[in-house]
Amino acid sequence: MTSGTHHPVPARGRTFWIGAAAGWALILYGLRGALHHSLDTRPSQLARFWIGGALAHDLLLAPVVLGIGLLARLVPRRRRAIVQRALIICGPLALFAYPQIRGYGHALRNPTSLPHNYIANFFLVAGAVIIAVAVTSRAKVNDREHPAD
Amino acid sequence: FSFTASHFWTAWITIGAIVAHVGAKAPITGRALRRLKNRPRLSEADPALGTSAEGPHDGLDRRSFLATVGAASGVLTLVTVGQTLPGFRRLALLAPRDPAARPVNRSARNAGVVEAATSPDYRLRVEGRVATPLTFTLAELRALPGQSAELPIACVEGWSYSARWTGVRLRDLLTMAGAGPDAEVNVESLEAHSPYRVAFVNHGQAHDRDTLLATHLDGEPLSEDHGFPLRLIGPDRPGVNQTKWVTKVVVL
Repeated sequence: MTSGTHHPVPARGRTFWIGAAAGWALILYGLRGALHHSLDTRPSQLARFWIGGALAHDLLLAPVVLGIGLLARLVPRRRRAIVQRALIICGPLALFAYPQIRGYGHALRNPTSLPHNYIANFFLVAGAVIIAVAVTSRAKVNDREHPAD
Repeated sequence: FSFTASHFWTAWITIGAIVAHVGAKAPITGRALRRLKNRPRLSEADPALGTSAEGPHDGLDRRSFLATVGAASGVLTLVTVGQTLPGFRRLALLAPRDPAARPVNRSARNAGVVEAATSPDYRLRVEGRVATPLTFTLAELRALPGQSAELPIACVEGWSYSARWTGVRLRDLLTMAGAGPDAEVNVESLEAHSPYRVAFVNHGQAHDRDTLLATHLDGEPLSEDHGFPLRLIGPDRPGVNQTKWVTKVVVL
């Protein structure tokens, strides 16, 4: 095998153009509908919601995640994979649980709205995840150090 | 902006983006899979990556990373899917609703119907294109032949539960009122200020044997929050259209 083998980029074929045509037709249909029903969709508010979400992801969330990832490199090598696994699972878990913990969307005078103790439940689930990660990671280390004959 | 309208039109935009993306990537994926057995090492395909992208790692390698991301999705699913799948209810620790508790979206107090629903002056009226307009008190409704049906309340928020509903069949009321055999109806609620206070029931659903004006839930009289004194319940209807605190049936 020669190093640096260059595979030329194939010309875009039929599948590409059919997908592009159908996809853009649907996108334009959705845009047209959102603008046509502007009394309900409030296009400027909707655009702020979507663009704001993308900016929040790129300017806040992604840098925070990258920063945590860099900090994870300070963890001793033997423990690094365990910490990474725990962070990858518990991070989104925390993001998901945050609105429930803060009570966002709770309907007053409706006892069936947000009925659980979400703080306690979050730590319960996160704790179970950390234990499961530690146990499975330990099992993988044992397999590597003592492979079956 | 309105959730329902914005969600609907944004969904079309998202579907279109996915279709375009699949059309662009499917050929690339197919070519890569066909070359799988003969694929070069990553460092040979692109020298800029060097050897650091493959080989032993101190942390997660790519395969482990992807597997862990899958595990994260699995955990999030496990702690919420019990809102819909009964077998997982005990695990739904972070779900916004607990279906075992028969949740409601709108309580009677929040709907402002407590006084009207519990008033001795409450009546159900059947009117519109009928031969004989009818009026019932709650006691008279309960005295009518009751039928039961096992039906779900399925909310668009993602939770659902099935229960046993008992009440009078809608089609029986329409027959008593002399409505036409192809009658369609609007069912109206005591709730004054709601976009869902009037629910349309088409011909098929109006004459379905399981479409009831329910007075009881799981053998007990409806609670105020579940629509006391009367709730529309029928198959193939979203939760918001299973109208609570019903006061009028208008034949169209």
